[in-house]
Amino acid sequence: MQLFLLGLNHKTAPVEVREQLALSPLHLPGALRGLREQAGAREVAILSTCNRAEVYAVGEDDSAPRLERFLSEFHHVAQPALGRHLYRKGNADSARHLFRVASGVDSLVLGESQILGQVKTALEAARSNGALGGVLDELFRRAISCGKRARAETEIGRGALSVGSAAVELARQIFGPLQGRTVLILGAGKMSELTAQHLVASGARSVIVANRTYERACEIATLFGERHCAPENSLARAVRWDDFPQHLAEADIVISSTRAPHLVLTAEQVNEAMRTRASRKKSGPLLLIDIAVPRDIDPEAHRLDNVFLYDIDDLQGVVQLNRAQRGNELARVEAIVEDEVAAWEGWYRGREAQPLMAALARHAETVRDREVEQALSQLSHLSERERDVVRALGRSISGKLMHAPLRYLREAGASGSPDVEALRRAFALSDQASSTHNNGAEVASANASEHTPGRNLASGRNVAPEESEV
Amino acid sequence: MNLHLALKPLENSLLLSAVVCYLLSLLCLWGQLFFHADDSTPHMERLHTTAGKIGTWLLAAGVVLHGLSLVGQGSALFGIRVGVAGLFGWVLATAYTLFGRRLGRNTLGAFVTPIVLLASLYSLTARDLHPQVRPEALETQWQFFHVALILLGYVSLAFAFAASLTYLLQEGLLKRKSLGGLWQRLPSLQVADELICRTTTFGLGMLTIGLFIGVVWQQRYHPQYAPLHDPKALFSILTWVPFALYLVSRWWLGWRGRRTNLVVVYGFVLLVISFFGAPHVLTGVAR
Repeated sequence: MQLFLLGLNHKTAPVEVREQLALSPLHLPGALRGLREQAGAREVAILSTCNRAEVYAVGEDDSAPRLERFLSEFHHVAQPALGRHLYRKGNADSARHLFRVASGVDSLVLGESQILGQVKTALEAARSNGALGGVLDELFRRAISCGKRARAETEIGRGALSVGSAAVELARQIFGPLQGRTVLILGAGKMSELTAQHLVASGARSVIVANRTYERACEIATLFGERHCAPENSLARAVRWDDFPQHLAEADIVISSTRAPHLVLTAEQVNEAMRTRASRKKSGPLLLIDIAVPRDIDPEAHRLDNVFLYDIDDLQGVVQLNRAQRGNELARVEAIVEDEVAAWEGWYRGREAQPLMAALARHAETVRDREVEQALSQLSHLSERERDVVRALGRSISGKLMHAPLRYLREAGASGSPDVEALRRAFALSDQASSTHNNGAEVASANASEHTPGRNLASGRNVAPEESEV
Repeated sequence: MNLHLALKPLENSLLLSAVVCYLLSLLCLWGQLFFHADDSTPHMERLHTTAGKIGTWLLAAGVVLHGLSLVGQGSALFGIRVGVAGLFGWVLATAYTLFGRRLGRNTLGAFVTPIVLLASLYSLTARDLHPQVRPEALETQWQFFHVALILLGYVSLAFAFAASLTYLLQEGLLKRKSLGGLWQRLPSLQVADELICRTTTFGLGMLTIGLFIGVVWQQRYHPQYAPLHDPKALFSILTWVPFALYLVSRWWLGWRGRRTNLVVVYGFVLLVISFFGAPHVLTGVAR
């Protein structure tokens, strides 16, 4: 019985392979069931994102090839082709891998935070499909807390890493909080929509869309109003392309990404807008973001007082800077991951000893109860109170005898000592008895019996000497 | 009063230690802002944060020492220029210690502390003057309000000046597209701009009321007093003008940005020059 991982990611497999292994939420229950029933995994969880497909499983030592076979059949990919891209990892390495993934250091974009949510989703999906036992549940919860720790204790997740978030960072340096700001989009492309989406998510209130084809502008504005703005402040609206210079004065932030081969916004127009703004007593700074290539906005506009113009290269510069900073944090995140892996290994090994601890405790209880009842059957003249004393004596003896071995087992288990097996044989415990899937109650009873001796003795002290000699 | 007598012999050494605290605080706060300014590796970030914290604490320590030395000096000193300068430095430092964090990312200190340091250094040079001050210098309540309001005005305008410097620095970085570490530590343009506007409005208001009280007081005790023939009053009006221009351009003309904030910087420089250039701080009172 061991933990292992089968998977591929953007580093080991091209997108053609990754998309074949991508699982929609619809197919996930089927895959989880198949992996358990057909491939013989005891516990299984699947982490499927656009950059990775990973199966974490707990099963017999030989079940890895069966899982691989199942995956190739399930996704209709030839096994040799699949095998080339797969990585296979054992216990500690699987944990290390998942912890690194959750911390964002295995991601395409270093330190991105989306992956943490995806790990949570994978955990919940596996849990709701009944595919989890104690091990994977614990592993995934530890991975999530490792991811949170990495982001809280290091700067791995800091700074903008996309053009959209770099635009937000710039806007914040100029405006402070973006609440109530107006964004004007020139050219309704994907890129400008994404950038505006970032700004709206950071508090910008209204969006004006101008596009050469008015219908497309309306479409985007409607979509924007529905998707990105809260219903009560859905202030997205479309304007005709020829009218956009009039709306320039209303905007605080302009995002331009048209396909025009020439300038669409001249410095003179910007200057005019600034004058209009001054006359309306609304003359804060104006941020112009030109993400079009070739550029849309006259670079001369940057020279105007209170006007700040940034093109795609400037934004990329911010992104590069942040990326370099995140790279410096890598070593610190790796240290946190190693720390968490060590803690995980302690837990995992300790857990291996737990069924044996439960079996040992159960064994002691059985022997004790049998012997006590046998003795009591020969002492029919004893009163109920005296019988209780005899039972307490039995509990006290078995508890005291078992106390040391159980404590030893717990410590030996956590440090991975091979003595666990020797102890199993010493007490003549069968394999089945000790490897049954333990549940909380068994462990609780094992722990409880460790603590019983003191209590039993205490009650035994009230008993007269001749009565307790039985 | 007992405290005043007890602290009187210590006055100079307290002031000296306060000045040392201010100086060290200044070094720390400048280090926080400008030492390896564009290096924002986590190690350097921590160093910057620590320097900022130490600087703020040193400033607070300076405020306490300076406050004790002022108690030792007693109220008589506030009638002469050096005394007012020292008090101004202390009120400015106290105001920053109390409200500094709210005024913007803890970076304003690097611009406020130099003013505090210069003012208290100046008051340190006046040690020999102390025995000569006439005890009746602060003779009426009128005069007390006159000095207190003008002092508050100066402090508020000093904040406007410091905020203008952060604005101009940030604006320069944004225009040069130098988007490194320093850029992220300075307050945003809009936040700095609003701070400048508020502190200038408040400062100018205090200054106006203070000057008005001064003129009324003079006329009451010296009926033949003509403010337009008093160089001190003329200087005061001269320093009043740039800040008034700033507010007019902002509220009535809707101007914002570098040029209007430059006016505040010039205005404060003029204020300092007139403070030293004018013949008396309080007409007819101090020498």
